[in-house]
Amino acid sequence: MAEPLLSIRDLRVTFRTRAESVRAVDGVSFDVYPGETLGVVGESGSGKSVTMQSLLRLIPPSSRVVTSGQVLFGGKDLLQASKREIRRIRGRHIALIPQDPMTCLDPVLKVGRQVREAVEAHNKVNSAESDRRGVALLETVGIPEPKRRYAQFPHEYSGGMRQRVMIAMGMANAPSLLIADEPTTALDVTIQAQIMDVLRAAQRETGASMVLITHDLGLIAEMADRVVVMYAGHVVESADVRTIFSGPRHPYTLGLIGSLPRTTGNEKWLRPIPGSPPDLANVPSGCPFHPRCFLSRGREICRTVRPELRPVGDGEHRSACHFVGELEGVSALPARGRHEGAGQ
Amino acid sequence: MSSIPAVGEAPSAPEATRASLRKFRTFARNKGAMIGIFILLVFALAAIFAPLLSPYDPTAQDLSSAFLAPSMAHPFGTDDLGQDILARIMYGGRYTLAIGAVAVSIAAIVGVPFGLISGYFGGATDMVIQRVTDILLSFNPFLLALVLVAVFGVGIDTVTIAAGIGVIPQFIRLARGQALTLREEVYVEAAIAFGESSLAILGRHVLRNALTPIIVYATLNIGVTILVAAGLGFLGLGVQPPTPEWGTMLGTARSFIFKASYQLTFPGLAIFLAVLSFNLVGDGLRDAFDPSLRD
Amino acid sequence: MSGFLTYLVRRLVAAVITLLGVILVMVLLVRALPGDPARIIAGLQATPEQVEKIRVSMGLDQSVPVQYWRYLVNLAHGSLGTSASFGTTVLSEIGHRLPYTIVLAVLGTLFGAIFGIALGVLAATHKGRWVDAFGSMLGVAGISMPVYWLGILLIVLFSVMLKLLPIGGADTPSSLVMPTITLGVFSMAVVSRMTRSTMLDTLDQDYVRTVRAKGVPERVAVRHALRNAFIPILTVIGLQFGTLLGGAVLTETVFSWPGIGQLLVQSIDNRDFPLVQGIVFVFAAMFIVLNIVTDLLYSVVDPRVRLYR
Repeated sequence: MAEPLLSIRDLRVTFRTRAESVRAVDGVSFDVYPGETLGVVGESGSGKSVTMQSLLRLIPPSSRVVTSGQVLFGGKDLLQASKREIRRIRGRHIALIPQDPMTCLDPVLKVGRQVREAVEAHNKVNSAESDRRGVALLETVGIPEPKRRYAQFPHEYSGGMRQRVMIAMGMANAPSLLIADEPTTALDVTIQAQIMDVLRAAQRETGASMVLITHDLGLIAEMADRVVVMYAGHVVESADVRTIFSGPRHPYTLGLIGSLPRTTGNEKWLRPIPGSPPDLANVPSGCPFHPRCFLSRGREICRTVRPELRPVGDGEHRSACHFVGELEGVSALPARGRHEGAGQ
Repeated sequence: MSSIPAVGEAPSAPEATRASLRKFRTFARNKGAMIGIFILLVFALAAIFAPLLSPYDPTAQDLSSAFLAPSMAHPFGTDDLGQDILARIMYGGRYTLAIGAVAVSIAAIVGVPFGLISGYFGGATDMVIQRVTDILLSFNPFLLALVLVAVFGVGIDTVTIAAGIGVIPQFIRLARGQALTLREEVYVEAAIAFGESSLAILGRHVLRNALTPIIVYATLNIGVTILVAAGLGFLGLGVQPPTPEWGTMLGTARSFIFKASYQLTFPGLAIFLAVLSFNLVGDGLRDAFDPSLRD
Repeated sequence: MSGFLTYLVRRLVAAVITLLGVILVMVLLVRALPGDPARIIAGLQATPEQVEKIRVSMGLDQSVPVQYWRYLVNLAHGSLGTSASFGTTVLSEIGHRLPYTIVLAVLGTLFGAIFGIALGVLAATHKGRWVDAFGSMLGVAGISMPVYWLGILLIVLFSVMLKLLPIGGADTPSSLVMPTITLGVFSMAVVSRMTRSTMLDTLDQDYVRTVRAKGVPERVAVRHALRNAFIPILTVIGLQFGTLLGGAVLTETVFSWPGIGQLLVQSIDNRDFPLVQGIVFVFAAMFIVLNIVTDLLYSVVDPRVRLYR
C-alpha cells in the first residue's frame, strides 16, 4: 500500500453551547490514498460533514468548537497549521464541494465572478485570463452556452447547474484531494447520474483522490473503491466496497445494507433499523449503537466499553464491534420479531 | 431524554415554567441588563423617597443663592432661581418615569387591540388600519407629538398623551405581526373548530402568547417616550416650569450656558441614564425572551 | 419595463393617498384648536375684519370637506397658504430654509452610515472580544443620548472651552461640524447595531463557507458577507433619514441652524398654523418619497428582487 495522502488520527470535534456539549466527531481515524475514491457513509448527524469541514477549518465562526487530534496532509498537521498555510491548501490542494448547491453561491454576484475568484485565489492572472479559464471550467463541467451563463446570477441556474458550478470551482486548481459532500442529495434522480459522470471525469482527468460523503448506498456502490461507515461521530466499519456490500461485519452496516429495498423475492415490508439515531449531546455509553443493536442483546460490555476499530480477517477490513466473530456468515438482519433492541 | 410535547399541544405547565426560569436566568446573566436594573432602582428609589432624601423643596426659590456651583450644601448646585438642582432632579424623576410609563401604556392599550384585529382578520380591516398606521408613521414620534402639543396646548397631560400617540404605530405593527404568526398556530385552529368566538380567541390565546413581545417592546419604547417628552420640555413646549421635569430644566439652563455650565450637566445626564437603563433592560429582555424581535 | 412602471405608479398612488391622509389630519387638528382657530391664527392684535378674512380664506367657516378641498386646490396651484407671522407665503418661507435642513440631514445620515457600518463590521468580525463589547456600548449609549444634550455638551466643549468652533448659525463651513455629529450619533448607533446583527447572520451562511473554501483571505469573505448584508442595512439607513428629519428640529434649535426644523418651533410659538401645516406636509412628503426611493434602490443592490412582480 502506498503512503496515504490524508491521514486522520483520533479526530474529535465538540460543539459547546451554553446548555450542552455536542460530540459531533468522537475519535475518528481513517486514511485516504492517492487516486482512490473513498466513500464516507452514515445517516444525518453521523458526523461525516463535520469531519471533512474541520480538516479545512471551515466550521462557521459563530459556533464554539473544540477540536483535537491530528490530520496529516503533505507532512503537516492541518489542525495545527497557521491561517496562511490553511488558506494555501484550501482550494488548491484540498477542495471542498459543499452540500446544498442552492445556498452555496453568493446570490448577489454573477456566477462568472465567483468562478473567477476560485481561479484568482491561487493564481496571479489578469482578469481576462481568469475569465477565459472560468468559461473553460464551466464548459468542462458541461454547462451549455458557458459564455452566456458566465454572466448570469445564481438564481438563474437550476439546482443541477449550480452543483456543476460548485464542481467547477472545486476543480479550478486541480487539487489532489476532492471532497464532495452529498453531491447529489438535493437533486433529481436523473440529474444525479449526470453529476456523478462529471465528478468521475474530473477525477480521472487529474488523478485526484475523492472523498465522497453520502447516505446514498447506491452512489457508494457505483463510485467508491473503499468505504468508511460512520455512526454518531464514530467510525464503525471500514473496508473495500465489495466487502462492505457482500460481507459486512458490523450490525449497523448490516442494518444499512439490509434496509435497501429489494425487488426480488417475497418482500412485502421495508426493513429499517429499529430506533433512531442518538442525540449527539447524549450519546449512549459504551458502544453508541447498542440500544438499536440486535447483536448486543443487552450484554454488559456493549453498554459500558466502547469498541475499538479492529481488523477483521486479513486485508484492510476493520470493524468496531465486540462480537464481530458472531457475524461470520451473516449477510442480513434477522427477520423481524426475533430480537428486541435494548433501550429506546 | 426530557419529554417533548406532541405536535400541536401547547407545552405542559412544568415545561413552561422550566423554560421561563431558564429565560430569567439568561436575563440575569446579561451584565448590561443588570446595570440597567440597578440604575432604574436608584432612580425609582430617589423619585419615591425624594421628600425624605432631600432637605430642599424643589420649587423653593431663593434668588440670593442662585447660580451656586456644586458644593457640600448643594451637591448639584443651584439654578437661576436658587432652586436646589439635586432636589429637582430627584423630584423630576417622578414626572419623567410617570410620563414614560403612562405614555407607553396608552400606546399599548390603544395600539395592541388594533394591531391584533388587523392581523387576525386581515382583508379590508387590515388594509384600512395599515393605511392609518402609515399616515402616523410618516411623522416620527417627536414630530407627531410636537404637532399635537401645538394644537392642544402645553402641559404634562398633553405631553404624556402626545408622546404615547407617537409610539402607537409601533405597537400596532408589533401586534399585527404577532397576530399574523399566531393565527397559524394549531391551538388557534383547534379553538376555531370548537366554535370559540373570535373575541375569545384573540383575548385568550393570541394575546396571552403575544404578551411577552409586547412587554419587551414596551420597555424598549419607554426610552423613546421619555426622549420625546424631554425634548418637548427642552423646547419649552412640554411640562412647564417651575415643575422640575428634566427636559424643561435643560431648556432653561441653555440660556445660562456661559454663566453656569454645570446646570446643563445633571438634567441631561439624568435623561441619558434613564433612557439608557430602559434600553439595556429592554435589550436584555428581548435577548432572553424573544430574540426574534431583533430587527 | 412596463412591470416596473406599474410598480412605480402603484407606489405613487399609495403615497398620494397617505399624503391626503396627512393633510386631512392637519385640517382636522386646526379645527380642533380650543377656542376660535381664526382668531388664534390672526393673533390677539387683529381686528375683527382681519379675523374674518382669515376665517374665510382658510375655509374655517365652511364644513370640513370644503376646507379640505380648499387646501387641496391651493396645493394644486402650488400654494401652501400665507404665513400669519411673517406675512409672506408659506412656500417662500419654507423654500428659504429647506436647503439647510436637507444639507444637515444628508450629512448626518452619511456620518451615521459610514461610521455605523464600520463599527458594525468591526464588532461582527471580532465578536466576543473587547472591540465588540466597546461597539455595543457605544451603540446603546448612542440611542439613549438626548440629541439636545449632546449638542449642548459639544458646544460647551468646543465653543466655550476650546473656542474652536462657532456656537451656532450657518455662517461658516465649520458651523456644520457639530450639528452633523450631533445628528449623526443616533443614526450611527442604530446602523451599527443593525450592521452587527446582520453581519453575524451572513458570516455564518453557506456561501461564505464556500468562499472560504476557495482559500481566499478572510477579508474577501467579509466583503461577500457585507455585500449581502447591505440590503437590510440600506433599509435602516433610509429609515434613519426620516428619524433625522425629526431630530433636526431639536438640533437646529440648539445650534440656531436656519432650517425648517427651527422654523417649525418658531411657528408653533407664534401660533402660525398655516406655516405649521405647510412644514408638516413637507416633512411627510419628504419621508414618503424617501421610502419609495429606498425601495427602488433595493432592486439595484439585490439582483434577486424584482419589485414589480
